Amino acid sequence: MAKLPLFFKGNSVDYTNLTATETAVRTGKKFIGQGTDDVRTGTVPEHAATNYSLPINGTYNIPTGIHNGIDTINQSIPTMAGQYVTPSSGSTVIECAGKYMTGDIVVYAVDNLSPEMIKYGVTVGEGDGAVVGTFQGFVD
Amino acid sequence: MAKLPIHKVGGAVDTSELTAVAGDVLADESFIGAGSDDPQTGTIIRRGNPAYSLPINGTQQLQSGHYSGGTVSQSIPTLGAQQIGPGSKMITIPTAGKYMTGNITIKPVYNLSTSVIKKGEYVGGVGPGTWEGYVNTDPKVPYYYGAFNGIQTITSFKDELYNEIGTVSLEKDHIEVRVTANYRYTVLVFNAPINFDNLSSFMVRFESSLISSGSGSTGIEFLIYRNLVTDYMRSNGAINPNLGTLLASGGDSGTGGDLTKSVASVTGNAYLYLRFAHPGSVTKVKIVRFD
Repeated sequence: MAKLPLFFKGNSVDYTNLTATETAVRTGKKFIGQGTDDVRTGTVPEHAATNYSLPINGTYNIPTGIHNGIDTINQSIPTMAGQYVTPSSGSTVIECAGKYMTGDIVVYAVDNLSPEMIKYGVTVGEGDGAVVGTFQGFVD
Repeated sequence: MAKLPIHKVGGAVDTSELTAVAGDVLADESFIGAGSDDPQTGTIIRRGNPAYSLPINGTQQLQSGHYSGGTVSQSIPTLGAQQIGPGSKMITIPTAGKYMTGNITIKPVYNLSTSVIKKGEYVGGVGPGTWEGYVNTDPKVPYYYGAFNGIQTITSFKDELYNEIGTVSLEKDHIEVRVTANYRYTVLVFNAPINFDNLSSFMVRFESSLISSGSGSTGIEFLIYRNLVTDYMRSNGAINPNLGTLLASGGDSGTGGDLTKSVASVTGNAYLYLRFAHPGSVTKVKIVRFD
């Protein structure tokens, strides 16, 4: 059955129980809402589903508005497991910059480093592990 | 002016230009929109203003709906570049659970070289060590088993102006003086002046033996003169006048041990001489010390 439009110019609809305002309706959508029988247009922005890769310690600000799908915020930071390092006479560089560590780095004590193995009065090593030599004498 | 509501019972509004449907309107908001003259209720779920914390390499999904703002953020501890100096103890760098903003460098073992490692030993894979001997930095100990104290050096010269000098060599743990005959008596002088004001005694540890069994004699003599000479001690038996006053002396004709004498009477600066006047002997000086 065809429906004849009945314009309501000069009339009014019962909007007393309507609550919607422009800020509750998707942008561009027309409606009759709170406080008036005029046709109004929604202003709430809408956003398509998005994927965002969060940098380390970054912040993703959720856009205000209607999100049409499921947004996904994820991250892909290289990781590195704990390391065990044997010190030597040369430098050892652990290439961990830009990585998330899943374990500690352990530097072994210098093998056989003890005062009696080092020349008297000479300091070898650093920090708490520094050793001041005590050896004097002749081996042969 | 009061507005009288006119209910649309039996009538209809023109909905043709209305486009909003329930899915366009926030939940619980009522409106008149497309498809019906009747009030409708929005269905868009309100998600509010959430604050999510993303774990490392985690995933946070934001369900569809309306957001009035919010954040997905992260707070992972970080650690900058580290320089670690290894030693005799194990070092644990607390990196677990941290994001590294720099590399970690394990430095070479500070000061580790074969020259400071005990002879024949390995430390941290470095070796074999070459160090043996004594470290002598005591100003009262001119010589200690191969090591001068950093102040003293020695000069050897002939005892008699008209004779020859013996053989003097610096061995790893002693000074060796070889006097093959009486015309090769030899003198050593410690070149730096010694201040005797606070010294009470002198000691020389030595070993002396015959080059050929049954021929010659052994021993050592020490003398303290006011002045330094390095050319000769005697000329036709007469003391070199450049030596100045003899302040103390002593001798031992044995085969070794510690020759100890008082020097308490000596004051001011003076020089120490060791004289080797036992023919057919080789003498090893091990320690020269004042107290």
